[in-house]
Amino acid sequence: MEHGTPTITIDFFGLPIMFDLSTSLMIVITCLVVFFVLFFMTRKLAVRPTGKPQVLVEALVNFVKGMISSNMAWKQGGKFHFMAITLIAFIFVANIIGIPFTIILPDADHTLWWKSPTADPTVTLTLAGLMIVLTHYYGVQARGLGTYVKSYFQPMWFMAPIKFIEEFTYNLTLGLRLYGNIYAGEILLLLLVSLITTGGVLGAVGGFIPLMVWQGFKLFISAIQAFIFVMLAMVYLSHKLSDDH
Amino acid sequence: MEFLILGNTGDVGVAIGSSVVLLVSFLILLGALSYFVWKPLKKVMDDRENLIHSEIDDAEQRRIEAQRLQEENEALVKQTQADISAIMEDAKNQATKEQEAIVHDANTRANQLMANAKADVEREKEKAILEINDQVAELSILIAEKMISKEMDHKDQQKLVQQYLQEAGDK
Repeated sequence: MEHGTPTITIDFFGLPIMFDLSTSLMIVITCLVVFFVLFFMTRKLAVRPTGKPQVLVEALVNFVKGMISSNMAWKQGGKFHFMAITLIAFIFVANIIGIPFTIILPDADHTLWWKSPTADPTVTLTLAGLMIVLTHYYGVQARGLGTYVKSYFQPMWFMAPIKFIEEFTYNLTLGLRLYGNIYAGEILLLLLVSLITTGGVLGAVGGFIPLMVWQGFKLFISAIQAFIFVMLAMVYLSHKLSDDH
Repeated sequence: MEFLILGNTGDVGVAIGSSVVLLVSFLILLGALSYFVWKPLKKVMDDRENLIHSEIDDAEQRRIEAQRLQEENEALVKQTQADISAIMEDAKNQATKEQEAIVHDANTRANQLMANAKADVEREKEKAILEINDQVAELSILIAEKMISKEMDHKDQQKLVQQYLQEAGDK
């Protein structure tokens, strides 16, 4: 079950920058899918909506608004609204884009081209890192540098190292939770597909039902993980924004 | 799995390029979605919220206005009804008064007419009696003339008849 990864390394002023081509491609595809789906769903906007698309997108917008306001005052959290909706839409689509099919080239490496971009830890950790950096940025902006630094020494000064490490564990847990869920799902999908394609009649019959069940379950996991990721990002943000933590 | 390389110093490095691609793509996606989708959508949703607020305010105002108008109308109806009763009462009184006046007037005039007629009749009667008296006198003279035939002159005869008549009238 070893799959090759198409990579290309570009020398950037002496630093070798490696691109995972399949991940990069899937990121771009995900972005395009998210953008165009939402774009075409909101072309006929009306104060009194006439079709389902607008209602659906508005439901998503309101859902994310609820997530933010359950963590912080809307006056503070309102500016993260667009980012949070974009994030949840991106992660959800990134999670489910690997479900319907997979593309593995029939070369020696079995190069895997089509997959969920969130099944790549680089992607999830980058997203998590972006969120953590944002929390620090807005934490300093909202409370001032002094209060921000002081918060590391509260409630006790000797807790500072733990608090400091905590920031990195936030990043790791946020990113790896998403990665683990989606990657495991992808692996199981690939296993089931290979069971069907190589297991003969018995494998095909025995693998088809579990494959469908797993695809449905993965859809569920995808939604849940997108929700959890954005929810936790907002929780971390509210921790940094408010004074009581 | 060569992806699990946190702290890995092997020949495969971290795909930093993927991070860059993700960051750039995500920020572009964020910008594009914000501009093309979220902003117009938020505007529509805010418009709706404002519309609902203003409609509720409007409805409240209209309700108060309607209540005010209703009270006004009720007062007006009451006032009008009172006016109508007063007018009717006045008209009734007026009519009664006029009726009485007319009846009174008619009575007076009728009495007057009756009195006049009575007087006229009386006068006519007297006149007729006088005339009859004269004629009777003349007739008597004629008769007497014929009866006496030239025994007395006309003047003496008349004097005598006058005397007789006077005596008859005195009786």
